[in-house]
Amino acid sequence: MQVDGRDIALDKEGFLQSLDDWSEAVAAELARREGIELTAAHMEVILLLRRFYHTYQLSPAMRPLVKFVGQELGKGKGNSMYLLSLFPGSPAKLGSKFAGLPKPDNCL
Amino acid sequence: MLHILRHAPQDDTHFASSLRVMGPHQGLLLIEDAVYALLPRTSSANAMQLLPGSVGLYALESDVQARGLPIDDLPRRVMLIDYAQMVELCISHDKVLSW
Amino acid sequence: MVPELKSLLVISRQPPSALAAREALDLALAAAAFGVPVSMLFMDAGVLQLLPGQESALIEQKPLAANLQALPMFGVEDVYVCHHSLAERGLQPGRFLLTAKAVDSAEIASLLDHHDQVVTL
Repeated sequence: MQVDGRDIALDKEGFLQSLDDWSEAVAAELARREGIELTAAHMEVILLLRRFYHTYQLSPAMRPLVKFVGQELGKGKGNSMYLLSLFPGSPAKLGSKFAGLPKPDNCL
Repeated sequence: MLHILRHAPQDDTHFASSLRVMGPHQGLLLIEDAVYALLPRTSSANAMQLLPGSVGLYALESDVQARGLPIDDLPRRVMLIDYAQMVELCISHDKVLSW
Repeated sequence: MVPELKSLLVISRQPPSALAAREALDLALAAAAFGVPVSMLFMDAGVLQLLPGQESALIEQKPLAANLQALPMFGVEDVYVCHHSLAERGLQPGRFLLTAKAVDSAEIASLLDHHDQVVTL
């Protein structure tokens, strides 16, 4: 994948090979490849996912993601309906992908 | 509840821990190196003698023999069992806890 | 509705020497991620996992601390630590990586009793 003239290595599921390659532009391109146009609401959650990873050294599964978002952004956003509206299908997996994190271990 | 121990009490703290939290009417089965707990005149053998009479004590006979422990000199209340009896023992207890 | 099985995970080994410590934590996180209620009991050498300031990277091990602190986020709230195991090691409850309730032998016996399945790692 190419972003701003840089070659970015992805694994076969489309996750970044190296966490250090991440930028907001990379996130936007990763999302575009999944047919999603990133908004400020997406980016708010993506940045939170990156903070989760730095704190706990883990990509969150759905339950901890909901809890963490609820704790940081309030109950209105800390629920699966809201997260599903931003990241259809599997918020933990898709969000981790756009945030440049490894695929969550415990994610179906 | 059946407690299954597999490590020698001389090398591993799980033996002491399991005795500490053992309730009456529970079972204790020694397999593999845990049968070294039966060595005569050791603190582990003494500790087992002091368990309430309602606690069932078992050891896997093949593991005892394989390690050359003196069959005639084991605490009398320890019942030596074979693999088939071990399976029955596990089934007859509501819960099995392997240490 | 099927009643939920309550599980207790007994953590009794300490890294860096024992891989079981890492496996136990992975098991807890996986179970919690799938909504299986898990309680954890740290005893024997496992209590050492709770000590802060372990620079395990110096001996090329991945530290457990960050993952341990994620447990509440994964919904693992019932964390216990064996008082006897702490005392044996000259440790006191408090100032651990994780909030854990110190329990004595009788309380541990009752924990073992009140959980449907118990896994020791």
